[in-house]
Amino acid sequence: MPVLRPDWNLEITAENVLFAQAADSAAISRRSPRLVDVAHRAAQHALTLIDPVVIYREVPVKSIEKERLYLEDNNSLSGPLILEHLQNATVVLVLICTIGGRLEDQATSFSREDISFSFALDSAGSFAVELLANHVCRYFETFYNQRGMKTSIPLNPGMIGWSLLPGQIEVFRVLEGINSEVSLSESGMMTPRKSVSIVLGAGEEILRVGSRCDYCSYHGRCFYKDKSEAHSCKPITQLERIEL
Amino acid sequence: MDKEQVLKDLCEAVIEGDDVKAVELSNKAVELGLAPLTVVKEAIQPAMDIVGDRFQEGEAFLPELIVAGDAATASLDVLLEQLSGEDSAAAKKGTVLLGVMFGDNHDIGKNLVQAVLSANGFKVIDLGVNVAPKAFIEAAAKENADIIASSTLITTSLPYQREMIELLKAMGKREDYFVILGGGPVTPEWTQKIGADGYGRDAKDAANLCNKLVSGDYKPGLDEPIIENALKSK
Repeated sequence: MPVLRPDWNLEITAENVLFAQAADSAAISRRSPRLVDVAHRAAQHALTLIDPVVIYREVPVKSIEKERLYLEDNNSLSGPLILEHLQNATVVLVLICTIGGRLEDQATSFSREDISFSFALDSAGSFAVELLANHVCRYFETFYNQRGMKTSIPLNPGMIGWSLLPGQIEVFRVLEGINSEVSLSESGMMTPRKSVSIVLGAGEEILRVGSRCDYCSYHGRCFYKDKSEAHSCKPITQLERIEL
Repeated sequence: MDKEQVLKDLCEAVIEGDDVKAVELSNKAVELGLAPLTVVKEAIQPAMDIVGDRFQEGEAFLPELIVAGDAATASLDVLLEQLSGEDSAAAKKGTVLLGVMFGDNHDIGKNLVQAVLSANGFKVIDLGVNVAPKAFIEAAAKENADIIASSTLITTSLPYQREMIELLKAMGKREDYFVILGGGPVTPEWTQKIGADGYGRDAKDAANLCNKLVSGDYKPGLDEPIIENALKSK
């Protein structure tokens, strides 16, 4: 079943929303209680607008030639980042996580009358899709570990060494035929925008090196640097039943 | 409440992003006989400068900038009603015509730019989304704009940015307005290639860019565009 619609008992707090807005929630709470209230309202509203979907496919690696990783389904992934992390992979898992388009539509509709709420709602969506992606990656890491395989760090098109547009095209090609949820624009933008595309490599000889931050163009200049990626959230129950 | 206190409280209300209080105090200032231009210069502008500086220094965050911009705009709406046309223009750093280019309807980023530019003392005319090149130019003339700011998130709208500049040239109006660009697929190289005057990667960059353009000795139609990219320069 390559498309999941998880039964996700998500919780989003005002602190989560402010975090997604790259704002220090403690400082904001002291200075601008109104913004905490806006964030809280946005978090509550967001929960009614999130439709999580995970589209995934596992494909065995066929060969590596030059800077290209060829897959058994005749697709390929290319670039220095791919080679660095996936050269020892026996399988790759290609996936897209999305929370659907309802939230961003609402955020846009609020943007004229209440830009502050609109931005908070949009940020709640960013938080939710990032959280979904983190949960899904952790699930699959455990899934492969239990089968004696190690996993690479999650790789996203647009990271240093994997150009955005070619990378997105490669991901979408692998998921062709099973993905009707998320579309790709000519510029590499996904619709719904609250979507994340990921490739995870797995194999007995995989060397897990670095962190995602090391390959991000914001490296060293980001609000999120050195801040915990972990956010408390109830697990996605349906993911416990994933089968590849 | 004396005049000095009103100005002080209004400044604080804008910094705190309290638009209701900012409007009340702006009305109070008018009732007390304070000249609107004085209120702008001694309360609104300092507040916007303080918030802008804090944001630049990483001491304030984007949501705070947005609500401050909202409060400043609400206050200015009250005060500018009281001003003559000449004084009204003097109260602002400049007029920025803002819109998402034809073929694109993604407007959250554009709305953030609007809030940040307002917080920096610019009069912002928001044309919305899916704006045709000619509509930008017609509105620029109507609003006596200083800067035309066009953004897009999709590559298929990029050619319309070039079309707008070519149209300005053909109409003999290229030297009337600065043209600045932003948006996901827009790059400094594209900005240079089509002959725009500046590029900003995000809302903060857009404010820096506009401040430079209106405060320097620049004239529209720069040979080399000004590139603002806080990410790269850090």
